[in-house]
Amino acid sequence: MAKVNPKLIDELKELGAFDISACYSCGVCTATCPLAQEGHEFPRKIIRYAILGLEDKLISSTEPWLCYYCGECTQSCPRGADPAGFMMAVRRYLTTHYDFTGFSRRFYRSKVVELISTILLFTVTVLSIYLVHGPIILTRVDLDSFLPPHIVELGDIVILVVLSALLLTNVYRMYRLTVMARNIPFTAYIKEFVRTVVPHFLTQIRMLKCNRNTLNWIMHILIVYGYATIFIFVVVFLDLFQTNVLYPIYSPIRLGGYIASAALLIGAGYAIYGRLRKDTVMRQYSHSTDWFFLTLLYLVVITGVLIDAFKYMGLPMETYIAYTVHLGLVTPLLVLEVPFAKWSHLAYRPFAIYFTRLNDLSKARTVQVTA
Amino acid sequence: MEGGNKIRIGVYVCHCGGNISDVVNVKKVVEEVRKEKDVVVARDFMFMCSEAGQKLIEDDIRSGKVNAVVVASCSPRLHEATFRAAITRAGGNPYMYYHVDIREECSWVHEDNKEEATNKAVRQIKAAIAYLRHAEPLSKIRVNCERSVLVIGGGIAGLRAALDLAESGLTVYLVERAPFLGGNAARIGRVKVFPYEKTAIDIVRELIERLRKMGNVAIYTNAEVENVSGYVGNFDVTIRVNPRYFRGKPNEYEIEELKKICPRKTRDEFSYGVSERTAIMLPPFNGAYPEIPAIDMALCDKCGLCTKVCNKVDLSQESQIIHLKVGAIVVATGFKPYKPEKGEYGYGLPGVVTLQELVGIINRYGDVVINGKRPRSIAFIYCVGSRQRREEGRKANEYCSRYCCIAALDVAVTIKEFLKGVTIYHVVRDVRSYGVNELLFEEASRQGQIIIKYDIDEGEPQVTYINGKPIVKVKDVLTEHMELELPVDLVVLVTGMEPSDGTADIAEKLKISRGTDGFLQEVHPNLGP
Repeated sequence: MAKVNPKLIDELKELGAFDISACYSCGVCTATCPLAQEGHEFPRKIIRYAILGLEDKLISSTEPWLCYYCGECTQSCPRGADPAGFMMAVRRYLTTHYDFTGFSRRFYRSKVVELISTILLFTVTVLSIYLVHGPIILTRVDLDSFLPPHIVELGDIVILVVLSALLLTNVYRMYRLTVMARNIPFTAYIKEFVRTVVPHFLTQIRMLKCNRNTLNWIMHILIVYGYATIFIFVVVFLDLFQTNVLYPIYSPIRLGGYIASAALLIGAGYAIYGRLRKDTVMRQYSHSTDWFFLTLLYLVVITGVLIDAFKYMGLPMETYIAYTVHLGLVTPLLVLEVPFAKWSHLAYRPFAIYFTRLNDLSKARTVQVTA
Repeated sequence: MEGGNKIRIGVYVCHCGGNISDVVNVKKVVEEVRKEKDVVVARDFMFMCSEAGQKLIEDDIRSGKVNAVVVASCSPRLHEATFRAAITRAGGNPYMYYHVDIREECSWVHEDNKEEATNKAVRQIKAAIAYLRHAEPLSKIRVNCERSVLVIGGGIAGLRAALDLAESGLTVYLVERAPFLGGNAARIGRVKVFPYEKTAIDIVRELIERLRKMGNVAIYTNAEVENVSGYVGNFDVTIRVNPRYFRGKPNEYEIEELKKICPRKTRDEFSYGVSERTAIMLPPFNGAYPEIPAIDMALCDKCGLCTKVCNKVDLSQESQIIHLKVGAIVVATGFKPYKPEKGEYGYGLPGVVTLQELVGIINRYGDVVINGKRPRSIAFIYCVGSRQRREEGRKANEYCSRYCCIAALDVAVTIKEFLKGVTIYHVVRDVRSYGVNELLFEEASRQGQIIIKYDIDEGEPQVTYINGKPIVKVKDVLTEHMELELPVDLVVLVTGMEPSDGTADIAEKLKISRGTDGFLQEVHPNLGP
């Protein structure tokens, strides 16, 4: 017996599902969706949960993450109810529910809170650099003296550990909320993990099943691999990446950094341009958290490029300032976005496919047993 | 048939697209009746009422083959006029015609015995042939017609009909059983009636006002039709006008006193029982007609207290008999809302009301207040008293009342305008907001009102009362047939229509037919609904 919460729909409307009340359950959205399949009849089923206020059902659904926002449903909807925008709003809603700290909910509810948090983290980072920095040498660019790599490395590791812990906790909560499977062998868990999470994390190939999503997928891959490259440079090869050595242009680290930066600028730039133009269904409505993520990402890349430029131009003070601002921006980008906001989808999307698969397997087994 | 003009009968048997021919062996019937004396032509056709079918008859008459016609098809109610017109067009006499009903009276009721059904159809047609052998061609005569009309029923339909007839210059007698005009529409009161920007009461008031200005209208309230005789164009009608027990209109002071004085109380039918009234029935709304109160003698015990505060009360008045001559009669006896039995969808529990009672509450309080509080959630349960299933020992209204969906949506949209933030569920079997009323569904939908659809085969919605709240349990077809539990502050039973109490009586007096549902029957289900 399912109980209803009439306030649920208002909460979703705040997160971007403005027109969904117009839905009259015809199911055209699901019929046109290239990704919906038997047993996972989204968006219609999810819309129905939301409209009726079936909170538990909604929170335990993985389907919102299986949607890649091609906008087909919104274009076909006879009621103008924007099911695609609704699914995005549900993803925001679910993000707030997977997070146990409650920060996520605050960020999604108030851009003021998100702005203040961003400024706070920026200030704390800049102040910390001010307190720990080494001698400022103005005769030449000497980043290693200004901020010794082992200190940055330490910061990297601390942030990496804390954020991974937070994100994985959220994923675990997502598992608890969504996975009903209790009757499948342990080996299946491992096998399915390898078959779902790994490839989807690396390729996001499901996006291509959507119609007209190819360009989006390419841009997305540029961002993912651009960022992953820099991420590896920063975490594993910081000694080589942050260095006083002036590399020739063809050195792997310098060239790799350029290519990665270019990829990020193109990918994120395309996303920002699209959201400003509002040229597709997917980009009609941008929640404040979308803008925070993209703006921070873009500023981080630009300041990163500036550090490099100033270094090679031999401008010491400018390099130090650019580096400080860069780190000041990196902190909120990582701390806010990865576990609590938009960037958390890097984990939720592949895991949703995994969890869905586990549930399907479990259901198939149950059917077998009863049959 | 007179003189040397020998009778030549044509028999035309209709298949009715299988309605008849699936049971009655039409070919065999034709063969049988062809053998009859005086029958010159016997034909069958898929749809005799179609243009091609009618043309068969017309051609036989025009060629002089036939001068009397038998059509064996559906009920004469449906197509007698059609075939008479066809005969007239072809230059024949439309009264040398007999319409045999082998559908309603034969094929539909004898599905179980095809052979006997065929024999019966043959006998029916033979009887018609025998009739025509003795028939004489008739011609139309002119008779004088009274240029006056009796309208029975002073509700919205009666008022509208009376006004239109009066405006076209006829003398109109409007007879209403209740002490005041307005009927059901007046009771809807201040609820806006979709899609007009007017309330129901405004519409009624305007009609009454315009009607009273007409010089050729006589209005009898508290009156009933006693007897009707005569024929089309010349009816003699007797009406009984029951006394109001008032000589003229009391002044404002007297009205205030009359409101307080009477000790006999009952539920007020004008507010659908939401409030009380006394035996002294005062005009129920501004602009009501007549403005004179009436005493409800069924309730009054003649204590005489009212005579002390108002000298216009006259308990000795007696009813009057009035004789009228009219040319036509309009029956607009209307409907009464279905009254659920106690326990039907939780009726009788606190917080469970009918749609009419909710309308009564809105009119009485200008707000929705249930148990002293404004509801934050409301569930409307549809099809209460409509589309009922036939069950042992229970009268079932199997029809769709065709207005309740629209009425419920109208009230829901109205409520949403003054109860901000209220959650409204419509627990429906189907929503039949046809035609322009689709806009009303659209509006309700835009307001975020929620439609839940149940399948009667999976059980009716259940209403229980737990912890001071009605709870509706329903399996929602639109959500994987999931069983939902809706705790709401108010359950509204969207009740259907039943024929008004006077309908059976009037139909009996006027010899007009009623359907199995008890409502007056239409001229033709398709051609004159």
